[in-house]
Amino acid sequence: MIDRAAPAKIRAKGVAKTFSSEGRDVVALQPVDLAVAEGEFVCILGPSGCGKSTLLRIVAGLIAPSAGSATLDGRPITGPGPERGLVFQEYALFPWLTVMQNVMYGPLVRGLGRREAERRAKTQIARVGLEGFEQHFPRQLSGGMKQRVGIARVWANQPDVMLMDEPFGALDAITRNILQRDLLKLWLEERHTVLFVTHSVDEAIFLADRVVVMSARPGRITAIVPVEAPRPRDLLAPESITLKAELTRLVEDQVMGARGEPSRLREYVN
Amino acid sequence: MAVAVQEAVRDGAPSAAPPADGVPAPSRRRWGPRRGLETLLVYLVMPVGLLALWQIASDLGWISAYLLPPPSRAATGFWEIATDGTLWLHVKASLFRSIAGFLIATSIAVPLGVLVGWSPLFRRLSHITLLLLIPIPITAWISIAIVWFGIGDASAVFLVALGAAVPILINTIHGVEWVEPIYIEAARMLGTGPRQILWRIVLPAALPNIFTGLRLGLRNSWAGLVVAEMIGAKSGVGYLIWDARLMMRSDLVIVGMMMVGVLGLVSDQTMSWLGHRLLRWHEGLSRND
Ligand SMILES: Nc1ncnc2c1ncn2[C@@H]1O[C@H](COP(=O)(O)OP(=O)(O)O)[C@@H](O)[C@H]1O
Ligand SMILES: [Mg+2]
Repeated sequence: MIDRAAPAKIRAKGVAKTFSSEGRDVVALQPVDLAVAEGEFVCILGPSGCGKSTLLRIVAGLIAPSAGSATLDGRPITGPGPERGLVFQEYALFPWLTVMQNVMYGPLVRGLGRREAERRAKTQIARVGLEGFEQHFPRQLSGGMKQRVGIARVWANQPDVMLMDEPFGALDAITRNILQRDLLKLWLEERHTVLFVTHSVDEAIFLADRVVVMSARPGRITAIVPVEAPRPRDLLAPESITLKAELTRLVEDQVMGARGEPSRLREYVN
Repeated sequence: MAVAVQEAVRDGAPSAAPPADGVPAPSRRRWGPRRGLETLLVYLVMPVGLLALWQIASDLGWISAYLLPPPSRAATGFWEIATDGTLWLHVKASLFRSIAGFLIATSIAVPLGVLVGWSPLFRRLSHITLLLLIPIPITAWISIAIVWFGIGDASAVFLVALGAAVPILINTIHGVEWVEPIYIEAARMLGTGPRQILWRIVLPAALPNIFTGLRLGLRNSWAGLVVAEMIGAKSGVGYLIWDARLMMRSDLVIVGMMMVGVLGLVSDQTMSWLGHRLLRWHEGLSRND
């Protein structure tokens, strides 16, 4: 499904991160190599604390790697930028702005003008199903609605790639399922490159072209598992259940520190 | 994909009201103005009751009329200076000093607080100085104020400004310093340049704190005003209180004190109203009073 010869949209080469706080060094990420193709939906799956956010934030340009380099279209990532849209688990909406103003924020701050900002905001608010809530403030919205705004706000900037850090992690199961479905539907319309962090095996199987499994801290990539089934996927289909068992074991192995049988799906990276 | 509304309901709102957490309508506030007369009565029970007790205790001779004149005596005194115009003269002088001092304090303390809160260098430079200056109570400044500005408006305006500036400064520094880093990260990811972060993110995010500072500053400024007028002026409610004591008119002392209370209440409610208008987005301010 993925053309290996195609140039990578996002590439991480030997990216590692060590945090030093109060004189102690915390290795958050061991050297990681990863290539995400244009238009690909890649999920990073791993137990919490394994460095998923760290990897994503390095690609976002919010933190610099201690070693290695990350590139977008072959150009090194040196800082944050609107061509990479980041969706936060905590939504990070600006509470002093209305829904409309939040979504207009990116185009406005980049100098596209009020009319263009309004046009884009209206389109994106409609896409995420929030018409009628334009004048609401974030605190008047439910968690699911907040994250819809978070996604619309990033899309209004028409980013090249979308980085999502457990965007549905704080939502209840039902809302999470609805948002996963809606995100997938919208993604299928445009097929932007997506790098999506999750600790939910189901979420990864439902969304991803490829699932990148990370080990417990200090994080490194232990397996990259393609998900071939056509979308929309039925999580109760036999192949989904097999895949789920496989991925669950891969992740749990990491948490338990046990050494299971090599998986037939496992595709070792290093 | 018109699922948003259903989902809002699922997210925990029992009714079908669109936004799950709801617009904080006045009906949600237990003592909102909509309750009308009933609410007003509840608010008035305590002050009216206290006045009544005070009056009764005085009539029964439990309280010496010189130490604490009854409300009826204070009311007569109030009427006396209200009709001959002296009260308005004092109130006018105090209002002018209060407003002038508060505006000066705001225009200096807010920008200074932003500077100190935003720049780590300025924070370090000013840290010890602020720690030393802040504990000095406003009353301790009166002597030097009179030396610098003499008897009159300027001394009082100076003390009001000083009294207001300290809470404004502290809260502004705090608000700017503790802006959630995630807002700054989100803004940078959306294309905000480093120069725009202060205006677009830090200031609006710090506004609730700045506003708390303004309100506390206003409350704090009355102490400065009264002390300055007692010692460093020949007019104003502070002077009224001081002068009444020298004339053995304890009823007018009470009137003067109550005027300070009334001015404080009116100004505080004005600030609160302004806060509601400006900070509709902020939940902290829309719940209480
Ligand atoms: N700014 C930081 N300073 C120190 N340690 C950090 C910092 N950010 C993350 N870490 C540590 O790095 C590890 C990986 O964190 P993170 O990438 O957030 O994990 P995940 O997103 O997979 O839950 C954790 O042990 C965390 O405590
Ligand atoms: Mg994380």
